[in-house]
Amino acid sequence: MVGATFLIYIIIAIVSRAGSTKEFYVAGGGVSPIANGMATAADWMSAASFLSMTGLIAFMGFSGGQYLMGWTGGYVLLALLLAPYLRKFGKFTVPDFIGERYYSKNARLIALICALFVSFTYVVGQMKGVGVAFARFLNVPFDTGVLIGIGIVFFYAVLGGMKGITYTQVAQFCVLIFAFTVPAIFISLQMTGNPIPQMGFGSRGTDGVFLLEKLNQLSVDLGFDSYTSIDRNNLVNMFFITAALMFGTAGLPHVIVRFFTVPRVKDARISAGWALLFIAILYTTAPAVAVFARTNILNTLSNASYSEVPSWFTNWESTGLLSFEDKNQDGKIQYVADPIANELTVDQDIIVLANPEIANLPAWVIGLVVAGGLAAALSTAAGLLLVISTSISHDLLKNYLRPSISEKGELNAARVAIAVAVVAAGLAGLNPPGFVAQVVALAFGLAASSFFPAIILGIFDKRMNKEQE
Amino acid sequence: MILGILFTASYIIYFKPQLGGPGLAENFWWGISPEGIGTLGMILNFIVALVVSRLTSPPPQEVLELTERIRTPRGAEQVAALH
Repeated sequence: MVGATFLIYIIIAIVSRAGSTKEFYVAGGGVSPIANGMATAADWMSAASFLSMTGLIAFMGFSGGQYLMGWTGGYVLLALLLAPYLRKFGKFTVPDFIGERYYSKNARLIALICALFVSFTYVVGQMKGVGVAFARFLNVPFDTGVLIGIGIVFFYAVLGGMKGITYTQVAQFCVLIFAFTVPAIFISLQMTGNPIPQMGFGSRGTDGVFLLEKLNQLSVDLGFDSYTSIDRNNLVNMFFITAALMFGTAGLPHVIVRFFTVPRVKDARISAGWALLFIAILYTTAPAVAVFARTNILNTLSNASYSEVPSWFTNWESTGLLSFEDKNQDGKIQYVADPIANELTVDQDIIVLANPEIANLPAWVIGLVVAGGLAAALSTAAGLLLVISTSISHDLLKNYLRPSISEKGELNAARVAIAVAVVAAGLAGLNPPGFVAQVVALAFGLAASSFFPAIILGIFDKRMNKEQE
Repeated sequence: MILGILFTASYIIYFKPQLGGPGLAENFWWGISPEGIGTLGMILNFIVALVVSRLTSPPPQEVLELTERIRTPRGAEQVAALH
């Protein structure tokens, strides 16, 4: 299953590989709105959305909703408020927009450095996602999974450019959305009898008790906060994280560049609408998957005998992303909120991948989810790497260091930049500063604090001048 | 831009132990974690940009026209001429 999806991506990347710089950066500007909508959705829904967001919601409960709200709101803001104006401005990259609008080469250089900084942080998160998926797929330690991921991302991002990436991302969108919803439908049916996960998690379980009520009780019994309770002491932080994700999304260079790949401004608006619809499918399913996964984990592992744990537990143990330490030597897993008594450590990024295994779904469904996780991580990583390569080859080399560089030389420099970036991001992804969604949130915070004010003021405040850089 | 990204990056590095930062969670400003600090960086960026732009000379005429042009829908002039 995973191998077949990879074969499809690679064939598409080879068939539609870029032949010119315009094809490399914006796919020649000739992509259809619906294809661009799918590619945008795949580009935007990274490993953070597919693998990590659900895990965070599962473990944080209500507070985890900040990731869902922030990213969704940010997309709407980007699609409605910024994209059409940037498209009309007609520049390939955000540094190009900043340089032109603020009539300053220094402003362009600063924007370029910010773009590199933001994109690199984002790619680090994706590389952790790739590592988690490969670790489980190949039953290898997490570090080995990341190293394999470096090779795969390197191959097709270097080969394709934007033209290859766009059509590969269309295929990846289909894989990831199928992979996320199919297991959710299976598990919803299994736990609630309702085939629609979005409705299933709010309905009664097979025992007649509402699923959320049951999860609240299980959580409280083990010393965790009630799943649906609101942590009022954390509301300020929740608001700031939601806002950072929202405004960061609107300033993200790799999504903005997507609106340059369609022929007309009208098409940019239509493709933004399609992308929102495609994104909503996954984002409305995620809270349901989180509830199913959390309930299953608490039910399956709490007070279970270690010698009788299911095979999925030992599989994940071998990756190093799940660990058990028998502190009281009773041979049973104490999974409780108290960190002194707790014996189980779960990397929250494994939840989506482990969920079908915990629910005893067929092997093909498990393979499908791994393929989906890889599709999500790889599609975003490829888009971001393109921004990095564009920033270096087009903005830095062409505009600053070597204005006389040939088109072929620029294309080669872009490919070398991708290679260096993917290796560096992979190495950083071996020890990331948090779960995938948290690393990505840092990238969004950097984008919010740098690009968002510059873009908004550049469009809506005529009086804004270059001194603000 | 410089102020926003430097402020945000410094806070993240200071309060993220995985990045070698010595900061502790109990010392977060108003309880804001590194994941949310970008909002404060953005507000600072907006304030500084607005104040500095008002205290310095306006952009050249062609930039003023460019900003006007990207905000005006195609055909707006013809519609205005009809009224």
